[in-house]
Amino acid sequence: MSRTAPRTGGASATAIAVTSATLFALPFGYLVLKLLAVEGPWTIVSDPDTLDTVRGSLLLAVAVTLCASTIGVSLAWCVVRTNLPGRRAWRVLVPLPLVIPSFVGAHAYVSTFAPGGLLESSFGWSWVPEVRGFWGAVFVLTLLSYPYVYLPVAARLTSMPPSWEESSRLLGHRPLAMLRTVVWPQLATSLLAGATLVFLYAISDFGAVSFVQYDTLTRKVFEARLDRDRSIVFSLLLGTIALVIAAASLRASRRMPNIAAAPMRKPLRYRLGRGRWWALSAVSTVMAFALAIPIGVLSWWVVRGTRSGGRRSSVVKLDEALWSSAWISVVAAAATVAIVLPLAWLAARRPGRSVTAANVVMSAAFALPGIVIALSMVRVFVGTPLYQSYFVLVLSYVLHFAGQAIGAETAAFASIPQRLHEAARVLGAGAVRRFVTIDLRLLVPGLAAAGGLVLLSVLKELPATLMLRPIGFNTLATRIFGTAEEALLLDAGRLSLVLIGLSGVLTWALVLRRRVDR
Amino acid sequence: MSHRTHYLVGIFCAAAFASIAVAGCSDDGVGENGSLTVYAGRSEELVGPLIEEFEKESGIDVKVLYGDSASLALQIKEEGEQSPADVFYAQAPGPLGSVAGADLLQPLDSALLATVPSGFVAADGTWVGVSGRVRVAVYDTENLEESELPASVLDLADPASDLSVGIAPTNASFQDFVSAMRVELGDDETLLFLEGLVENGVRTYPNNTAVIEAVGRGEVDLGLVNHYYNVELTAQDASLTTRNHFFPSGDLGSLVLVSGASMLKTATNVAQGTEFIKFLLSAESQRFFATETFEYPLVAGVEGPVGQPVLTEMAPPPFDLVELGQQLDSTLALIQQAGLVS
Repeated sequence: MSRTAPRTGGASATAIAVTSATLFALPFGYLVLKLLAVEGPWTIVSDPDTLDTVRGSLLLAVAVTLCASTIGVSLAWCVVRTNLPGRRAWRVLVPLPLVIPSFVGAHAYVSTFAPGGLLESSFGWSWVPEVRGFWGAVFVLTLLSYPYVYLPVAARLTSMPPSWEESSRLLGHRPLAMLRTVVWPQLATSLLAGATLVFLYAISDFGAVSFVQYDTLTRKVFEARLDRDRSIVFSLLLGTIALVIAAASLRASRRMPNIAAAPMRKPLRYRLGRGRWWALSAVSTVMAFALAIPIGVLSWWVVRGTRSGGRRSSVVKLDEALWSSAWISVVAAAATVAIVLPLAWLAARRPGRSVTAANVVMSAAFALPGIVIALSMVRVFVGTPLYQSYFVLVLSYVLHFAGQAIGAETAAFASIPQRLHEAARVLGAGAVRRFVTIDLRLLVPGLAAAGGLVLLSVLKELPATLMLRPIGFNTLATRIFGTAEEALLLDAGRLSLVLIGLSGVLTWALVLRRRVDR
Repeated sequence: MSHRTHYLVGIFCAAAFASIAVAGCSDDGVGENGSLTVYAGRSEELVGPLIEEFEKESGIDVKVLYGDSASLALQIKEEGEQSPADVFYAQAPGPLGSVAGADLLQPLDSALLATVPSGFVAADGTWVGVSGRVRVAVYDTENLEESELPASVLDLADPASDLSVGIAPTNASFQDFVSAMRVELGDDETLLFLEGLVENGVRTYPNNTAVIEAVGRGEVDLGLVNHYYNVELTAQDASLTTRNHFFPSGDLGSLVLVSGASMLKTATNVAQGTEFIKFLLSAESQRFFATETFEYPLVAGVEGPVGQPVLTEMAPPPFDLVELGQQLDSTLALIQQAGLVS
């Protein structure tokens, strides 16, 4: 369990780290450059209204992180470590809410729970609370973001060596004591990584907070976007919060115990007895809210629109948007995983100061508004032949979402036992051969998980896609935006359902099938 | 992972990269009469068919980047002199004014400007109105009688009014409505109006569709929106009983707003751009707006949208529309001051 002695790495390590840090610092640099032209930035920062908004953003992010962590860990435990009925189906369904674009999800919840909404008009339930304001935002964002915690924690629970729990039991530990002393320390790193993503997601969300009318920095960045000074200052505040959180999270994870994997063994499952039905009803309830309600409302839009003979847009070519979304998200996910790889390796094997800095910048970029990432790319590439090409579009996805991959990839490297390398070296295997036969093989599940997160985010990304796409390129997300904007809810519903379906198929094919616990 | 899956994943990746390659080389074609790049802040779902028609008729190859008007304005300002765009076609005067304010637009051909009533044209000639939408109050016929409807939008801020109101304060059209009120009544009156709405328990929503849905649910009595959203929504859901209430002509509540087209200073295809804007103002296109997007044509002699009240005079607001764009920043501040967005 002991960590290899931290070395500060050689010149090449520093070079890799500095290069990555520079690349990922581009959007931050853009903001700082813009700030120079802002008159009196301090008057905007010190405005009591600004401080209120910062507090509102932080409060929301903390609440969502706590709720999503609780739900994510509980779901992971039930699905991976118990004899919950229908585990296989749950494994595919539980991560899916991550792909529902937040403005679509929020729209669905608002129209379900509002006074006179679907629940009241269909069942006469006038007592249901409204999804609005602070608690509305917590509710929606928790349901859309708990998979960030669920996915790494479930992966960890799957690969944790069962022998530890067995030994703990043999030593006579009670279940709770065992959870605390054996399981919890092993989960902590994954939970922290997931919780950090939830926090960054919550402060950077625009769709949900605007639908439930709760004020955050991100909402102001978008809504005051023509008021340049304010939106630049708010973006920088957002970036600063993200940098602090990312740095704190990284620091905390350094103090946590190293993790070990035993990927070839089945995880220990606990028989719940009659409790399994309680677990089943709890899991079903969460999924009813997180998945059944949004899908139900979207289907209702389609049924209602079709029945009323509502207009269908003539320009939406479903198959074309479907294919575009599929390939661009897979390419972007693969590119992200590959670009993050060297830094992840350094972070696991030779963590030094420059590596840490690069890591923090990369994670924090996830919380920047998409429109800032997009505008910084405009600034860098306008006038070159690369402008509005797939290259810049994919690069913007990489810059925005690499923070979601770095955690999982570092963990993947860290879990490769060093003794395998030593044994291989003794047997005369060269560096390349060792990488291919040992690392790559053991890395694959971790890399797939990292890629999966990026893939789901790319599928629903909107602001950068709208600005940087080659002219004429349309994804499901851009089509959902266009149709929802014009009140063509029949089309918006149909496209959103296809998007959820596509995400399900892609995550199953590329990520979930690989798990060993079949 | 089985060999078959490897195989499938391989095919998928190959196809994906082939897509990049193919997409990278194709479609740089130039029409027989040149090409044109348009940044359009109106959705392709609405104006796509119209642009296809233009390509067919003119032989000009048109590339359109669709997006939302405010973000496109930001993008054009960021691109500056390097912008690939020739024409900026926006949803509302605000974003056009924002780009004009950065001195990035060139004056349009005077023949074009003369096509529509002068009130729907920027005074400095940098953009021309293309289609009109009218501000209305949406109500639910099951909730309100016609006799209960207010005669003026100003009544809604009256402490005596018991009608609850829903608005979309971040919507460009609502902001233009507030700007218009400032021009007409001054900042103090406007602030009183907005504060009156707040006192009367106004509820805010992210967009026009959400406002109308809230009216339909009975959450609020009236929703201040553009007229064509309810037409679209009732077409999607025949059971909806929401209807448009047009305030009497001349009332600020029934302000006529326009979408508009402009040409960038750095445009490289000026002739084609002029041709395009001329096409938008042709009788054929104006009829398209009336029948397909339920908007009011701005060019004389074209019939208004079916099923919508005939506006006897398409009265332009009695002030320069350019002001709506230029006043955007201070209008945002006022909306904020009233506590409608914090």
